[in-house]
Amino acid sequence: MEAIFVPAGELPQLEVALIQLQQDPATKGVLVLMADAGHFTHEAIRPVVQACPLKVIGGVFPEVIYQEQRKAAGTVIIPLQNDLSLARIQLADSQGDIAAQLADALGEVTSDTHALLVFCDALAPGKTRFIEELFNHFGAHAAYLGGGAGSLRFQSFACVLDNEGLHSNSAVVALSNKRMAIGVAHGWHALTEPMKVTKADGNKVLGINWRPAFEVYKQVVEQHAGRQFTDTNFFEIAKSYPLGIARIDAERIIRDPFMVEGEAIHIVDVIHEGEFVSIMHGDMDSLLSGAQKAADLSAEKADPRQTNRFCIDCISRVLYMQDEFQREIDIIGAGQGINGALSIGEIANDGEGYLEIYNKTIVVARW
Amino acid sequence: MVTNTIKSELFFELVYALSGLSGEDDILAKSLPMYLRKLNCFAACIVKAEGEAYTKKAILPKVFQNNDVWKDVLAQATQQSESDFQELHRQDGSYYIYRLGDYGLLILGRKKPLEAELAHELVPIAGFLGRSLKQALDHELRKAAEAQTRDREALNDLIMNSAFDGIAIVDGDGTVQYWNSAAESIFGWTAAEMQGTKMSESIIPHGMRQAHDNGMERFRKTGEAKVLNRLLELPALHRSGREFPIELSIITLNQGDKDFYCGFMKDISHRKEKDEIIRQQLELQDLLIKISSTYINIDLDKVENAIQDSLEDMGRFVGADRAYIFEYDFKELTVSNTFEWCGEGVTAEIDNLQHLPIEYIPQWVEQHRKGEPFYIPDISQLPEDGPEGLRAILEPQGIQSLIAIPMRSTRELIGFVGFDSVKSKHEYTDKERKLLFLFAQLLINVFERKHKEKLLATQEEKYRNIIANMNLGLLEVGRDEKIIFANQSFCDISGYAIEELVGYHTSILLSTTEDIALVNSKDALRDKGLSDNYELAVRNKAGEPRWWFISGAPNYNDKGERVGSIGIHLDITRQKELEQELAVALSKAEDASKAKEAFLANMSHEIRTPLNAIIGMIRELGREDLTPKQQLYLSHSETAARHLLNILNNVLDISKIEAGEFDLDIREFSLSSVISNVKSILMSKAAEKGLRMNVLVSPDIAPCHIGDGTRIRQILINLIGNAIKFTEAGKVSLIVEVDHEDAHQQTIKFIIQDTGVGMSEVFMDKLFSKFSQEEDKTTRRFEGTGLGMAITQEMIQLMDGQIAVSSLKNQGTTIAVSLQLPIGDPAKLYSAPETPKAGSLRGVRVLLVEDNDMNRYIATQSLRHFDCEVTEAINGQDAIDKLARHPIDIVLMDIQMPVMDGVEATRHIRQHISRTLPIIALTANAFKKDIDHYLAVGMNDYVTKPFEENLLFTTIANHTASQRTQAIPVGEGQPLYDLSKLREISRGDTLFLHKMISIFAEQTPIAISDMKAALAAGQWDSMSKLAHRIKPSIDNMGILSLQSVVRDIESKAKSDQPDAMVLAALLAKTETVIANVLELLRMDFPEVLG
Repeated sequence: MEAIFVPAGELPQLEVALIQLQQDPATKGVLVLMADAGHFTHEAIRPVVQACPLKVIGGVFPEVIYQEQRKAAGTVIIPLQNDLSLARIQLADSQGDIAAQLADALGEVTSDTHALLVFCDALAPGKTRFIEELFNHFGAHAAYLGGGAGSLRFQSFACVLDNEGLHSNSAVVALSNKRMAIGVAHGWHALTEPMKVTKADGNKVLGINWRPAFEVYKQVVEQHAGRQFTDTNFFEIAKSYPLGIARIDAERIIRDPFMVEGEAIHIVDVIHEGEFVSIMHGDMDSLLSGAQKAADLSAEKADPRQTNRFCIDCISRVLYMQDEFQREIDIIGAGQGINGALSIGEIANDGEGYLEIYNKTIVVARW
Repeated sequence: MVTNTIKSELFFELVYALSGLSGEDDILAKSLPMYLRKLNCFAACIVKAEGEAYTKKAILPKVFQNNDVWKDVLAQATQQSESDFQELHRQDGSYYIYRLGDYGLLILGRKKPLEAELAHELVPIAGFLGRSLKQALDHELRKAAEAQTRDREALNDLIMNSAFDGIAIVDGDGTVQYWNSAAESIFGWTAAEMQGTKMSESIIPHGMRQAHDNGMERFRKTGEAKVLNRLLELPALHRSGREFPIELSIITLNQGDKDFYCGFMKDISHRKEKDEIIRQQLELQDLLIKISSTYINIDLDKVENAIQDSLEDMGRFVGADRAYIFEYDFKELTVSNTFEWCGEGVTAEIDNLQHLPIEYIPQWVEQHRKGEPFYIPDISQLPEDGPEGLRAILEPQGIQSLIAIPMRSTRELIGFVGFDSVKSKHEYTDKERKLLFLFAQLLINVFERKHKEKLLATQEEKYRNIIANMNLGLLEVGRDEKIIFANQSFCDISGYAIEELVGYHTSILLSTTEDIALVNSKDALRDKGLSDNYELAVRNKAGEPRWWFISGAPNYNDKGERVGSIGIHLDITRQKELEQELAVALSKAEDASKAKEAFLANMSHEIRTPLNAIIGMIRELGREDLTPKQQLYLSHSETAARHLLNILNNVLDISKIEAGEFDLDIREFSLSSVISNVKSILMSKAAEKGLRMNVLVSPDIAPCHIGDGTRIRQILINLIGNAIKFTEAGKVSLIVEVDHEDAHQQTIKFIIQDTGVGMSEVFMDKLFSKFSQEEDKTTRRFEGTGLGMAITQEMIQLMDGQIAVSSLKNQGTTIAVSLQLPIGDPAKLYSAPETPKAGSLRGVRVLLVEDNDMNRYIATQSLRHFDCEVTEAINGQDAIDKLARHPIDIVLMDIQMPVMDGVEATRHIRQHISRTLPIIALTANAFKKDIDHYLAVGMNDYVTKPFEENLLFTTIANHTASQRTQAIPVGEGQPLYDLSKLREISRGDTLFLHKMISIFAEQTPIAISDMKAALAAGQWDSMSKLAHRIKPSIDNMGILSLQSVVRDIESKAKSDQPDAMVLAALLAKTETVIANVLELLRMDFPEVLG
């Protein structure tokens, strides 16, 4: 059965869609991806998802993609034919040991878990710890797919969804026994050699190579861009110059700078002190080639029966590419119809290494 | 390619991460995730060597805990356990095995192989990790062993030193060999100071040292010792020189050929103090019980002796030589000694201490005002020239210490109780002070009781005086109803002398057995503690009839037992006479009013009956083909008849207003329609007089209001009709505007202006009086009852509105009416009645029950005009007979008829023929109470005679709607289901639509069956959930008639107290409608449900 799109505010249509999807006995769960504008509130959607016998997982995202179309409002419902186990983890600082919560929620883990769908509140303080602990549980053999939920208002709200409704400061995980083919790519390339992050504090990079972080960044970027940073144009220039965390024989992890405060560069996700970062750059062509690469990687890994296409794409790629972004969707959809979410931070693992939260990256999955 | 910089930084990180960690578990927890993350591994594991065996110590991710691949890799790794590094390249990944020194192995799994150089360079890094782990392990083992030895050594000391008892060991010479820490703290001597010294020189009081030495000597010689193996209580000496009690037991120890004596000593000072405290507390407790019980319920005449005794007890208890009570008199500013007790050999001072000026003892007063005692522990310590020469006053009395405790009630400072110590000084402890305060409080209570009883006696005297001097008779009777007391006023009003009353039974005052029974019944009330008031008709001693108003109450003694009753009597004979006169007058007035009402009702009926015939005939004549002249005559006749009817209606309205029966019929109505109707009625009248009529309505008027639209119409017709009537030339205007509004209501202002004759100021004052018309030459030509304005004003007042009139003689009048009207829901507006057209009630079978031939004829003509099939009956009985033979859709029932009236006939029809057949009263009785009566016996509606043809038509049409239209499946004209929404959702996908129908047909009956089961089992939560589940299907299938029903079930089943009956009814409706929907769906979609 194919994905269904429900316009914003049409709760009865959502109910009908869920009933419709229940008719196929193969359907075990549903991905419910809501675009931020006019999304259903917890109070509205809770009775609907509670009454639904299927496993429900999803969230609210800045935008969603339905049949290769960007949707700033409305809900995409995607049937899942996998046996799923669901868990919700509290990520607020006060929630203590995330590892213990995972152990309690998931019980004894087995190697039958081949894929995990993961959505978390993009602004939750325990997000990074959660991702680390998740990997400590399941390792690299499983494929991870998901992203940060929330809105471009960057205010915390109830944005991750399960059968109990919408939740803030939380993550939802669905364990699946079926395999997924994942392709991750970004299309950014390094302008500099790796430089050591000598001082960092959560989402702020304070020092690079023992020098003030912004001083180093400014020097490289201004020279390359041929433009000067002013009080107001940081994001406009910086959106073309993200940071890339170097990893041993793996693709760099992109981190998105969005603000500068004194010498501190604020980035969307955490960079640990001691990491090596390069200043990256990309243009429309390189980013589109990144999209092509992600699509190719997932296609290579997929077997011919895995025909469902899904993507988690970064909303900041939309902000960068603007109207050209449709070209990226066209590339990954290839006219076959692709659905997905435009997220704040992408959660993926290509099955070859450590699990990370990416920025400015595209994840294409097939199942 | 990994650059050298990154590599060196990476190695640094891996090594640096371990700095500061010394525990094995800490190192494992920190290092393993680092290796996993920094080297981009899919797994990392540390195994520990234990002899030949290897144990898995830590593995990440946890999912590999029981993974077979890892068992395999581990087996291969341990085969070459001596080498520092080996690598395994398998199909599932590359594995790098590093020796962690003697500790064990580190195994890293990667999808891609590591660069060979990097893999080898990790050897020393892993070695460092191994050393760290080994060191941590060794360190922990060493620490454990050391701790074990230390523990053993410390144990003995710990046992000795942690003993609560002091332990001393002395040899045969009495020289101290061992002195534990408890002994140090008990005696103040350290072990170092005591060891090697004679114990008798330090801790044994001087007076006992000789006895101690003698005892030791005797034991040495004879082996006899009284003190051994016994528990002794002895005095001991502290290093400070303080003597204190100890508990001691001594045992002998024999080591080799030497004897030692081991003493166990316990400081029992605290125990001794506690014993003393307990003894004192018991003594105190006895004293308090004694004093407290003395004052409970003590007779006031015995109080003085009791206080005297208590003073002695208290004085002796605190060891005082004199105890006393002083009372302050703040009016006179003096203080007097009122009680005194003196110990043996102490001189009494009470006589010398009366009415002393307060200024002699300012320090006492100051402390007592603050609620604190005045206390001098040692008079000799006071300065010679101290304040107010205190010492000079007290010393000559031989006083050495004193304490004076204030006696303070809640309101004021009464005095103080004091204790002098003459023979020796006395320092009062906290406990003693608290006791003295308690004693003072007991004294205050007694003093207050005395004070209150005195006050009570004074008040009783005062009230007795008041009662004796007032005009209220007071009578006190015992339980046996014999009179105990009567005041002078009672004697006056009863005519008896007091001696003729006291000791006699109250029955002497009562005239009849009913009165005696009434008074006896009051006795039962008094037993329950209840008071009440009642009136009693009696005869005084002279036999004259009298009315008394009696206020009776139970009477209690001081123990709260009821001893009788007390009654206050007022002679109300004159008031009763006036009351009876008034009742007669009132009864006459009521009779007159009833007669008027009956007359009005009768007149109304008697006038209406022929008027019905006249108006009906005029109407029938109007349907004929008439010449213009005949039409003119007819028009005048109709005007005259309607005028007569109008007068009649006005008279009835006024009588309704007077009877308080004038009610408003509040419902949704359209003000615009009302105005339009008024305009259409009055426009032609204005035009007939050659007047212009302007109607200006604000567009802001809401489409629907809530109020009595009919009465508002009547008000406007009255006012505009008057304006037209009193205007000869020019114009009449109606302006309707919104004066004020909010979300819920509008204040509507109606302004009626004319250019007519106007009114004088004198007349304007009585404009709203009944039967008032300005009587002068000009106005006399105007017809009317003069009731219109009075009725109009009454109606406006009933609607909480205002009316204001301004007028200038010969210039015109302006009337402004202001009404506040709630805004209504336009959806609830009654649709406009159909305009009667010939033939529009075709086929409706009407039974017309009317005894008056003329009226029957007129009604029949009207009904036939609408094409009704009319069956006539001449009275109620005839109607019942006709109903048995003719199929009838509706009955028009006159009321007053011979043989059987309309009310009786209706009762019979409802009981024996049909409960649902519409019966409409067609009556000349227009009073509300009559109409209410007709509806109460089972009639459905009414039309008053003379009837308006369109009202008769509308009424019949309303009550026969179902017979006149084809049966609609269910839901009052709504379709059973509506798939438009579902079609929209399906986006043209017919298969989807069919699927949804099929699901609905399959699942809904199951859900309803489940709901029935839940209802039967009282499982409300389940019922609510089932309703919730079918709600989307019902919405999507567009089953409008069930949308609210299913929501009702959901919410009502969830409520605190679900009503099973209501839920059963709702469920039954749901089931019926669903069954109908399914039946229709099967017909409409045979390809899906066939």
